[in-house]
Amino acid sequence: MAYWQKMRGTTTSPPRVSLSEVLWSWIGAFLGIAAVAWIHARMLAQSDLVMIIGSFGASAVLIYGAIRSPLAQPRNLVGGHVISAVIGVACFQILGASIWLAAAVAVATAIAVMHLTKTLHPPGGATALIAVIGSESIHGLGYLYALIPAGTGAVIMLVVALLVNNIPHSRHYPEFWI
Amino acid sequence: MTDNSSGGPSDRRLDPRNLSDEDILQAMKQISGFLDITPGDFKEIYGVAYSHASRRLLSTPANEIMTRKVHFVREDQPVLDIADLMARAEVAGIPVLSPEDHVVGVISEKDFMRRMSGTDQTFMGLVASCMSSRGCPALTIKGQTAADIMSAPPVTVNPDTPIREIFFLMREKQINRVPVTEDNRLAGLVSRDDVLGTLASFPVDFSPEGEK
Repeated sequence: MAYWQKMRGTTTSPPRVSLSEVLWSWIGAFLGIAAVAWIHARMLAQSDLVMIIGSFGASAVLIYGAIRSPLAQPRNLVGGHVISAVIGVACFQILGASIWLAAAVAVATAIAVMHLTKTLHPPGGATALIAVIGSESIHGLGYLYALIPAGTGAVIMLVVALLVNNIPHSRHYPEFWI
Repeated sequence: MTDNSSGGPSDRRLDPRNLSDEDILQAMKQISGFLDITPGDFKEIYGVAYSHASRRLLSTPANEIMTRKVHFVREDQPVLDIADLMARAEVAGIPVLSPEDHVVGVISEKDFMRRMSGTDQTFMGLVASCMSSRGCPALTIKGQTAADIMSAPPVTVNPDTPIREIFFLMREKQINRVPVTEDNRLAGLVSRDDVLGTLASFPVDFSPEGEK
């Protein structure tokens, strides 16, 4: 296909989902984010720990809103966040003197490694980025960031996904585990 | 009937390449949940998967589709015997074995027709000949044996010959059955029905691998 021709697109947008799908997406996302946000606010408020990071909002889209997606499966959710978090922290610690470079390397490398490990999860890119451009308290966590909040938060949201996504007759989750 | 003109029957055949975006969108609507795939992606995956399935089906070996319990006759068997056996077994063709059990020929209804005189080598020619009371044309070969009327050497295939090859072989040689042999010995028989039964389940893409 000619270069410019490719930019015209080749097919149509997928259809809109049913209202019940919309409703269950909302319920799942509400409960999943509520769980990590509540723990963050109520249990970790006195500590330097965090439980919620921006990338969980993106994970919620997938694991409550597009639950059939390969990107939304447990392997990808947990693997993607943990792997990207480690890469993000490493990039900050090695290249932190140049934040723009550390940020770019972190996200690009996170995508590459998620691909190689078959754990591609788009919010992982944000998790890696946050490790670089995040607050002082995030930087202070060091590699613990990969465990709390990244790993633990992903697992909590996964538990909510398993509980909520399997309630309606029309839904089942996950498609696969490993 | 030819289908080489545009808008011909080939355009309406149920074939993965004829799935419209509308068909796929309808299916995606019917399946609950958000499928993060475009109709175009689906079509591409389906098309490629279909070619794979097609190729797999066409490479089904003879021994998976052949009939194993096969009637056969001996070279020296009289044609009356053979006609009797074929009538009772309701078969239109039968392999001929040598004393060493090697497949040395095949006898079909066509071979009978061909050897009889005054039939124009067709069934209707035979009927016409009988009714015009010129006597039964079959009497002309009554004293003969299998070896006299059989088609030899026989067209045979191996147990691992793929169905694709058998299909083209039958078409090229204009035959309706091929004995399957292993070391020249009869292992089974693949009839046109066996081939069609396997292929009829879906429209198969006969184009060679990689060709679009």
